[in-house]
Amino acid sequence: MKRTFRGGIVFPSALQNQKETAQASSFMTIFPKQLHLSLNSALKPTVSVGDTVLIGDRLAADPDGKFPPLHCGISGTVTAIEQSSVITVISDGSNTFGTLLPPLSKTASREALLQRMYDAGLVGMGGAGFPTYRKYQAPTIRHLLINACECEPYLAADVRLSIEHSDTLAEGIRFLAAAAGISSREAVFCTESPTAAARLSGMGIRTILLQGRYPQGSERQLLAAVFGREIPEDRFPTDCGMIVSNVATAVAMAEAAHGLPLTHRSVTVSGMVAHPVNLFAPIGTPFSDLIEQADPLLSRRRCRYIAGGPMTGTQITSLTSGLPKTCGGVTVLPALQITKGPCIRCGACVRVCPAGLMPFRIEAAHLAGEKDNTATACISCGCCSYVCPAKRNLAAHIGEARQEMRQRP
Amino acid sequence: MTLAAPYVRADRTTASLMTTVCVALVPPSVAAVYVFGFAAAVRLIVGLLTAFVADRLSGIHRPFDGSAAVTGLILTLSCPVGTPLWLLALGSVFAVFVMRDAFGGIGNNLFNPAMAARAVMLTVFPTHLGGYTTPDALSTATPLSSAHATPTLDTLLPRLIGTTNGSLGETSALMILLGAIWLIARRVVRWQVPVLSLLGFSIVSLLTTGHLILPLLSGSILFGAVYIFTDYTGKPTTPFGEGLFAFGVGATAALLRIYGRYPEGVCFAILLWNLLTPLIEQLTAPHIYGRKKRV
Ligand code: SF4
Ligand code: SF4
Repeated sequence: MKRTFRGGIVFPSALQNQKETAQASSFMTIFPKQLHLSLNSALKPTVSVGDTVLIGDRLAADPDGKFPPLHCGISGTVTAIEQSSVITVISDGSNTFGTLLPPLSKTASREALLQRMYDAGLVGMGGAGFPTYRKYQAPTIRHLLINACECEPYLAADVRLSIEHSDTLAEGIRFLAAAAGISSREAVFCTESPTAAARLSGMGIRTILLQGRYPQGSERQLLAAVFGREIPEDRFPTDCGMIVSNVATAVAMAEAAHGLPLTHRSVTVSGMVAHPVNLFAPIGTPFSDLIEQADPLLSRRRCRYIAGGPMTGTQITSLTSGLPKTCGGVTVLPALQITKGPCIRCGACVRVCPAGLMPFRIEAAHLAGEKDNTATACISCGCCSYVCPAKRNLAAHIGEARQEMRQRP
Repeated sequence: MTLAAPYVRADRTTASLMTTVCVALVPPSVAAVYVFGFAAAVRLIVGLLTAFVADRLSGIHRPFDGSAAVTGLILTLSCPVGTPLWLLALGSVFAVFVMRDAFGGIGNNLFNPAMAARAVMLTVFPTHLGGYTTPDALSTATPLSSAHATPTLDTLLPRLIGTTNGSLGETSALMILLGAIWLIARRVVRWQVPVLSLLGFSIVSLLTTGHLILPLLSGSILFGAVYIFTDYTGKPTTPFGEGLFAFGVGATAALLRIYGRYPEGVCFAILLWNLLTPLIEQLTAPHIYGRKKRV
C-alpha cells in the first residue's frame, strides 16, 4: 500500500488520461517577442524605460533586501514601466546572455548557497512564492522533501521535469540539502509517478512513491503521508525541522549554482487544447503566447483560462499578462456554468476534506453571518466543492470565512 | 458570472443522485406489482404523482431535483397494499409539503420526510394502515411469537423471492438486495450503513429472542436498511457517526419490534435517531489536521 494522507480525491480516468498525455510531451523552449513582468509590492524597478537588457539582467529588486530580485529572460529593450508594477521588455531576437553570477563549487558553504538563492531570485515555484532562502535559513532542519506530487488534473510539468532533467534535478537536490545544512542522503524525492521515481533513485536520490491522490502535493498533506505526523496549525513545517520544496525550485537551484538566475520556468499548457505541451518559458511571457503553443486556433471567447490547475488555480483576467514565477500551468477549460442547489447532507464533503473539517457546516455558518473557528484549518484544496452534488461553492465561501477570521481573530 | 475555484466539478448532481435512488427502487416496486398486482401499481403511481405535484406547488426546489420522487416512492413502498388511496395521497403531500418543505426544504429537515409522514398517518388513521393482507408473524401485536419454529427452506424461500407479507416494498428480499448492490456500486450508499444496521438488528433480535434469519427476511428491516436508513436527511454526515447511527437504528428497530406496540419498528426507530443526529454529528466530528483538541 502506497503512503498517502486522509481524505482527498482520486480523479476519474478521463482526467487522469489527459495528465498522462501531457506527461509524455517533451519540453520546448519558447522565445516570446515581449515580456510583461509584474512586481509585487516589495520590488522596485532597477531599470528605466529605454534601457537595453540582456538575459539574466536584474529588472527589479527589494530596497530592503528581503524579497529576492527579478531577472530578465530575453534580451531587448525596456519599453514601459506601468505604475512601477509591470515592466515590459521587447525582444531584440538575439537572446544574448548578460554577465551571469560566478559558478559555485559542489562544496560551497551553506551561507554561500543561501546568498545565491537570494541573488538568483529563487522563490518557491510550487505555488506560494515564499522566498526560498528564508525557508532554508531555518536553524535546525532535519528533513527535506522534494515535491513532485503534481496532484492537480492536467498539470504535468513537474513530473516531466523530473523525468527529462533528472540529472539537473539530482544536482539541485544536493545543493538544496547543503543549503538546509543536512546531508544529501536526508533529502527525499516524493512523487506519484513510478517513472520519475525510478529516474531519481537511479541518480542516487532517496525516493518515495506515493499514492496518486489529490491533494497529495499539498505541503502539510505530503508531510503527513511521509512522516505520519501533522504540523500544528499555527506553525510552519520549518518550525518542525522540515522543508518541502518543489522540483522546479530544485532545478532552479542547480542552475543558480551554475550562475544562471531564475529567468525561465517549466509550465504545462493543457485542457481544451489541440495538443497539451510542456514549455520552458521566460518569466513574464504573456499567457496568450503560451496558449498559442498548445493550440494556435483556439477560439478565445468560449473558454475559461486558468493560471495553475483547475482545482486551486485562478482565472486569468487578461491574456496579455505575464507568467509569474509561481505558475506551473495554464489550463483551458470550457466556460461551464453550474446551478447550485441546497445542501442535501450527503456527507461527501466531510469525507474528502483532508483537513478534517465539515465544509457544509462552515459554509452554512458563513452564509448566516456566523463564525465557525474551524475555518482557519482549511487549506483551500477545493475537494469539497469538487465532490458536492449540490454544486455548492464550499471552498470559496470557507476561504472567505477564513480570511475574515484571520483579519479579526 | 465567474465560477469560483475549483473549475472542474464531479459529474454527480443532486438530480443524478436521486435518479440513481429511484432506479434502485425499481426492483422492489416490480416485485410489489408482481405480487400484489394492479392495486400496488395504482398505489405507486398515486404516491409518486402526488409527491411530484406537491413538490411543484411548494416550489422550494427549482429546478426539479427528484427528491420528491424518492420521498413519494419510499412512502408508498412502506405502506401496506390495503392503504386507501386518499390516505396515501394525503401522506405523500404531507411528507413533501410539511415534513420536507415546511422545515426549510431538503437538507434542513430534522426528520426523514417519508417516515415522519408514515408515523403521522399511523397515529391519525391507525385502522386504515393495519391492512396487511397476510398478517406477518413479526408484524402482529405479539411479535416473533410464531417465529419460534426453526426456519426451514419452506419458510425462507418465499420470503426471498416474494411474499404477500407486510408492506409493498418488503415483498422480496432478493429484489431489495439487488437495489442495495446497485446503490453501493454507484457509491450513493456506503456499505457500512445497511451492514451495520442489519448487524444491530440481528444482535438485538438474537439476544432477546434467539432467532436471526427470519426477522431479517421478513418485515421492513431489510427495506429500511437499504433505502430508509441510508437516506441523507437526518443522518449524521461524519463517517463514524453514520456507522453509529446505522447500528443504533437497527438495534432500536429490533427492540421496538419485539417490545413495542406498533409493528412499525423501523419507522419509529429512525425518527428517534433522527433526533439524535445533531448530537452524534457533534460528537463524531473528524479530527482537524494540526489541532490537538476539538473546539
Ligand atoms: S474545507 Fe478547505 S481543506 Fe476541506 S476540502 Fe474544502 S477546501 Fe479543502
Ligand atoms: S457535499 Fe454538498 S450536498 Fe453533500 S453534505 Fe457537503 S455541502 Fe451538502
